[in-house]
Amino acid sequence: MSLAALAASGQALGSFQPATPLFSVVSTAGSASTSNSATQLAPGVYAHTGGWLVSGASVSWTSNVLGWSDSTNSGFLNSNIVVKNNTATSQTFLFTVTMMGTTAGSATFGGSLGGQFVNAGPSLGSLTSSGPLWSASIDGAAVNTQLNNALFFALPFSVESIGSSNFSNQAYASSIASSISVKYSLTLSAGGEATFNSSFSLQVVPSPAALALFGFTPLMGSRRRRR
Amino acid sequence: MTNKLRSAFSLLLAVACIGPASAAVADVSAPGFSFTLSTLGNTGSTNYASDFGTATQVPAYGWLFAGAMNNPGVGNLTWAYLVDPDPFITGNLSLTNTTGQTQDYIIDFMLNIDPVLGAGSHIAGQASGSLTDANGSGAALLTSILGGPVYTALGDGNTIQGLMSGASQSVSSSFGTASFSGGSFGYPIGSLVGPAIQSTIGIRFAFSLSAGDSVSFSSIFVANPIPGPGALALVLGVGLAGSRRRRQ
Repeated sequence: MSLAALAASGQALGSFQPATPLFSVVSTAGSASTSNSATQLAPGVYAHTGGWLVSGASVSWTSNVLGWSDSTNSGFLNSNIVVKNNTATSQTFLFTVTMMGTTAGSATFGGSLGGQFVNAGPSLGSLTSSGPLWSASIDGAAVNTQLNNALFFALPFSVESIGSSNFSNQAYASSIASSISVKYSLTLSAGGEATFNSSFSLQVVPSPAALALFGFTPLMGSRRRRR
Repeated sequence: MTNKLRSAFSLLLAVACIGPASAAVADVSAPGFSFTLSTLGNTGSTNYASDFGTATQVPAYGWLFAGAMNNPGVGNLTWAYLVDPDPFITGNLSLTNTTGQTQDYIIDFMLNIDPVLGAGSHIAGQASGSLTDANGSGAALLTSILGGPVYTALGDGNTIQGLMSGASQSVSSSFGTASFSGGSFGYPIGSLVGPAIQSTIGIRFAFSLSAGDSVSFSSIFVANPIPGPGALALVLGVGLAGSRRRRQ
C-alpha cells in the first residue's frame, strides 16, 4: 500500500498551508510592512512574490515556491531572497519565511543554500553574520544552520559567490506542532546586495501505528474481495 | 608673468580643457532604462514584457529599477538593478521556470548613458549565480543557448564581452543548490580598454533552464570614460601649481 492510499484512508500524517505563509523582516534600517502575492502553480503548490522597502534598504523575494502534498506527506519551502542596502551605512537584516502546519509522526528533512554578494559601493564591501546566516527551523527551534559567523568581502563594483551547501536525510524525531521556517540574519555594508537561493524540505515518516495500518487495510480489502 | 599668475593660468587652462570626460550633473529624472524578457520556441522568440517596473532614486548610488513578473506559463521572475548613467549597471535577476518543460530565456537590461563615451572606455564586468532544484525532482540544469555566453555586456546593443560561454551548471540532489562563479573581465577596473559607446550599455542573459527549477544571477557592468587630454591637462596643471606653491 502506498502513502497515497494511507492518506486516502483518512490517516493523513500532516497538513500545511503554503498559500498563506508568513514573511517578516526586521532591520536596523527602520520598519515597514511587507507585501506578498501568491500564484497557484499546482494543487498545494504556490509561488510567492513580494517585498519590504524602507529608506534605501530592501528585501525582496520571488520564486518562493512553497508546497505540501497530502498524498505523499511531504513539503518544501524554497526561498529566493534579495537583500539590498542602498543606504550610506551598514545595516542588519533578519528575514523569516514561515509555513504553518502540523504533522503526526517523525520526519526527515534536507535542504540547501547558495548565493552571491555584490558590492556597488566605492569602498571594500562586506557581508557578515553573527551566528548562523541561515537557519532552518521546526516549531521555532533551529534544526540546521549554515554559514555560521559568515564573513565575505568584495571589492568595489564586484560580485562574489558565497558558495553553496547541501544537507539531506536528517531526522526529526517529533511531530510538528505548528510550523517550519527559514531564517536569514545578516549585516550588509553600504551599497551591498546579497542574493540567496535556498530550500528546506521534509518528508513525514509513518509511525508504527500507521505502518500497522498499511498491513491491515489491504488485508481487510483482500478479505472483502475473497467474500 | 609672476609665478602665482602662471599657476592660476595653468589651472584655468586645465579646467577649461577638461571637457565632457568629468562632467557631473545632478540627476533630477530617471535615466532611460528598459527590461525585456523573451522566450525561444520552435516558432521564434516571444516578448513577454518590456519597460516595466519602478524607478527609485537612491542618493549617492543612482537609480534603482525593480520589477516582477509572475506568469505560470513563462516563469516567476523578479529583477532589481542599480544604475548610474555615468555609467554602471549592477543588480540581481531571479527566475523560476514554472512551465512544464525546459525553457530558453533571453533577458535584456539596457541603460541610456550620459555622457557619451566617445573616446573609448575602461570596461569591467562580472557575474555569479545559484541554481536550485526547486521542484525536488532530483536534478536541475542550466545551460547556455547553442554554446553562446550566458552573460553578455552590451554597448550600443553590440556585444562587448561575454561570460559563461558553453556553460552547463547542474544540481543532482533533491532540493539541492549549486552556486557558480561566472567569471569576470576588466579587473582591476581600468585595466581593459573598451570601445566608444554612444548611447546605451546593457547586460543580456541568455540561458536554458530545466522545468520547475530556479536560478539567480548577480552581475555588474561598468564603463568608465578614458581620461581625455583635458583631464590629463587638469592633473598636470594642478600638480604643477602645487609644486610651484611648495617651492615658494
